[in-house]
Amino acid sequence: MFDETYDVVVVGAGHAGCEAAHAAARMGLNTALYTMNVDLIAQMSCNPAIGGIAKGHLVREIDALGGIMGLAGDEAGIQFRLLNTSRGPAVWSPRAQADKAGYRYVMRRILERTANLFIKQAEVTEILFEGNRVAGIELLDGRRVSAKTVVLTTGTFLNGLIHIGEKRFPAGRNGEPASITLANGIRNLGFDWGRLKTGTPPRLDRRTIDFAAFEPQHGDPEPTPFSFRTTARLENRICCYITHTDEKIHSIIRSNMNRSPLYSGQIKGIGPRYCPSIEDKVVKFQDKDRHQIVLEPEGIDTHEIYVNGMSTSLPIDVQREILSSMKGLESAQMIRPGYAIEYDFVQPTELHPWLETKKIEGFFFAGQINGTTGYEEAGAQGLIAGINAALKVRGEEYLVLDRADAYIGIMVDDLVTKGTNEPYRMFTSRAEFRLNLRIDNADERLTPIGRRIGLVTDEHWNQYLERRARIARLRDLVQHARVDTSHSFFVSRGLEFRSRPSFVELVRRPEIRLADLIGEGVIQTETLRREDIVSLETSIKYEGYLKQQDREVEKLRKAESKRLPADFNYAGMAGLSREIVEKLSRIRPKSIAQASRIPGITPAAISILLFHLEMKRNHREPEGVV
Amino acid sequence: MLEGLHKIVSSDETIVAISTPIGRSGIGVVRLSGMEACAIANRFFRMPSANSFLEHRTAMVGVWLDANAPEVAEVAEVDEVVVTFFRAPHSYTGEDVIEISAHGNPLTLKRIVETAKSAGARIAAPGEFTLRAVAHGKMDLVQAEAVRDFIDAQTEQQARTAMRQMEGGLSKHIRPVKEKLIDVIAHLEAGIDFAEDDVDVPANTAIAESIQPLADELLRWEKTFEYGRMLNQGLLLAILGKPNVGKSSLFNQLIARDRAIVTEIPGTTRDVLTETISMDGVPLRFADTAGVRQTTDRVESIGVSRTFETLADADLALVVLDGSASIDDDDRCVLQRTGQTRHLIVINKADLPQIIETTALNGAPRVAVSARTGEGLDDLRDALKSFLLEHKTDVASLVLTSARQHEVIGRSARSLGAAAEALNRQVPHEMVLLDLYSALSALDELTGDVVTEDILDRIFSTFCIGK
Repeated sequence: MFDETYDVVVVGAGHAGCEAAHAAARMGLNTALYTMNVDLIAQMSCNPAIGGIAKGHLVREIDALGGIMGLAGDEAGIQFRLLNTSRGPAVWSPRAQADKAGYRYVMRRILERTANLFIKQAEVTEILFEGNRVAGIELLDGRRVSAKTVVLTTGTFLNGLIHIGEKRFPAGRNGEPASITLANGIRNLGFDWGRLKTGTPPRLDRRTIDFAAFEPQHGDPEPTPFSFRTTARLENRICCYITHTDEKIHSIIRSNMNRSPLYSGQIKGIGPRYCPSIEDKVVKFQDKDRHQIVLEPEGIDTHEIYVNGMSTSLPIDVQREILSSMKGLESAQMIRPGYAIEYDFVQPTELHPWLETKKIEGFFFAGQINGTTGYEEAGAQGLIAGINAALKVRGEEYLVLDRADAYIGIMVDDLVTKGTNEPYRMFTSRAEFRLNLRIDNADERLTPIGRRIGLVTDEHWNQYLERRARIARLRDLVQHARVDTSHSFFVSRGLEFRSRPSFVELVRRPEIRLADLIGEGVIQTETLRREDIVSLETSIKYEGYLKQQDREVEKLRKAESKRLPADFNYAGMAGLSREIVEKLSRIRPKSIAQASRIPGITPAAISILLFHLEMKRNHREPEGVV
Repeated sequence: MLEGLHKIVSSDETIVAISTPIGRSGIGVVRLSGMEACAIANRFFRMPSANSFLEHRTAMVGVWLDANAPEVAEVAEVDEVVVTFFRAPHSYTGEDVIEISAHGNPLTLKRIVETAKSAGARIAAPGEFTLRAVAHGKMDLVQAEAVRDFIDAQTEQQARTAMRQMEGGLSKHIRPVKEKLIDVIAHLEAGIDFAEDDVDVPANTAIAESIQPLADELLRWEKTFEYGRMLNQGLLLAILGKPNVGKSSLFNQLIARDRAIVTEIPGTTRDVLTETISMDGVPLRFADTAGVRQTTDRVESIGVSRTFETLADADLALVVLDGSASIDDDDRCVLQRTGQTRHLIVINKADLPQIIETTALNGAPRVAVSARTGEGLDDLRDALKSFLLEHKTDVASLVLTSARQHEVIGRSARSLGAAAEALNRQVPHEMVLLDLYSALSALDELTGDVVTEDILDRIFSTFCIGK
């Protein structure tokens, strides 16, 4: 009946699929990863960069749990910047320009060296079921593969439709076929489908650009890695270039608006508001006289340059006209044009918080199919789906991170609770407990969890323990040691003390930086990252804010601990409106806290839920009503 | 949104509360709801005969006893009451409900509540009776919202305020403040989340300057609560004095009917009587109290101690002196005891030859009246009206009427103040935002809206974000 048998089958080897397959295999499950083209594993379909604000947090968290995106990002990274350092360490985020080919290569090498993991090139045309349980997959050549769980990570390939001006054609990514047969099969499963749109800018030939017209953007002198495990010194090997559009360009765009499929009505899918196409920017922000453009190299061994900020679906001749009107790009040659792509996604409210579909057991979704955008968002979901697919085969409890655990928890909770109407991207402003969800403590938050489920290797675990011990020793020193006030640090600054203060008292002073105390030898410490030192300093200087945050976390945890039974009969509950009953019955929140986050659920409705919950716990129904 | 979870209730417990506004009428009602309601009534309610029992929808006259009080008959008997039983589900809440109607004296009602508490009942959370009614399908939410405000409306001015709030009057005031706050938050958030895009974030001092007026506005609203409370609960005006200075006559004049018994015999009034009238739309509760003097009479001395309890709750004391006599030790005792309370001296018996030496009163505000002829009563009313005016507010169309609104607006104002102060201290924005979100979610508690998506919507419509 079946040609091959696996515990976990992952369909798609993009950023979600790679993490999912690696996690399941690392956890000891017999795992197969199916891709239409093994040479394009971990392809970066859009910008040549990993991380960024909030996204860098996701990469850190993936790494802390035992995922691989951070390691690959560090190894394939060619320019590193830590963003937002003018603010507190909670919103510092690492970002790196990556060599696209290098990233594919590193990722494939990591996967090939993972035990229990088998990479397969084939087109999956059908998902097989037994009743409402997944049973395996069928391939284009007719082979059938049995699987206990299937993780679907199809990206933009489901009914992908590319638009360039008036032209459109089916594709998964530019130059790759879409998955039409698979899409048609899954269509009939009764999921709540939607259509989204995203876009990518044109790529140029480096040799035809006059870089003198641009402002260079360099990497940090001290690169910050994504991974806690990266020990090699990272190197900045390239530079990016910044410029801006002007009125002349805007008028070219305006006069060609009728040829943009976005505005002609040809594109029906909804695009992300935070990543608008250049034509959107010009139309929607007419008062803005310029828009930022950043030229980013796609790699070391290529001349291809990514034109960040110029995502577009305008016809190729208009793209050319725009580019040639830009200073420094007058004679630039286009290697490939920008395009918009529409694709199918499933409303993620179809999923449990462990990313298994509610309708079909053993069937997990991760990445763009869930309505998200971004490599990091995809990778994080892939990791969670892979972990839970493995836990399901093992018969263990699912892993669900909450909103105070991790950005990953916030993203998954947002998706399964609210669904999405535009491609979902992570922001730090989505994190209510942002001060606690830092890049420097991602390991403290998540590595023990990764260890418990068998994803964190011995080597990783030992590195973790050593690192936490180093931080603990510094904290201990700062909290307990007394300051030697005769040190030149104080003398040179004219600081005088009546008695010997503790370091904590000292650091509370606004003008004193812990990093300076360490730098000038007032405190002796082992090798630590800048983020660790600043984070410790912040916890002293702004203790009150952190405590305020902790109280909020407690409130959340209390509301999360009020679990709602899976068989709760909302329809029979007096006092709830029909609309609220419909929402609760569809989303089936796991807790009072999750219920309170469903759009349209009022505080009064929550009070009623609490009341019925209490009544149920006491095994009593209100008399004569229900 | 978590803020919405403050009403965490347990259906298991029997709840109790005074369900009529305090002191507003001759009758006050205490309501019990839940499994134990009947048992509690059976324990404290002495029915007319040993064969009586509580029957659904039947009112019964009897005595409420305080089983915990010492063995003195007049102390253990809390009050003569009417008890009505409603069996579940045919009651307001859908649970077993006991309604105890007693005399409207707040102290009596409080004692009834205390006895119920001693038997395991819990004080109901605000709106909990109604919440239980909704949860048991006795009414829907929209009705529930409307109920409370109408129950309370006693004077026209109150009804207008309640109406205005039901029409979203408060929300209408909050919305523009909220809009500005969301704007500030969106700017700060955009600065953090889109630091890589060229987003202009104003300087800290400029942001602090835009927050301060919002905080000030909320503080102004917070102050309207005193006026709102006055509208809602009315003011308690205690009429005090030694025996036989004419307190009860004055009381009857002020409430414009013969409520208190008036005799020549000193010490006729032994308990506190209250009556409410409306003056300029504000409910004024006048309390006629037992005359203050040294006494060995057991009942009279209980009356005197209740006089001082009433004084403690009073917003204004009307100290009545006899103009036709000299100030004596009992008068001095009254004047001394009212020294801590806002008071107005009423010199009664202006129709008789005046002997009182007013110089001894040190220029304290006073009015001369004759409770018998009505002379000077308009002056007294004018004095009371100017006392009311002090409580009036300059925010013409907005009045906070519930303690919850007052608490929430105050909390929001303080969070905004803290944020403005932190900005001036250059505290990082992600921390300042904690206070700004607290301020915002407090306002959301009052309008019933939800936050996060608002912020992102605002960011995307304000800034051109994205590469």
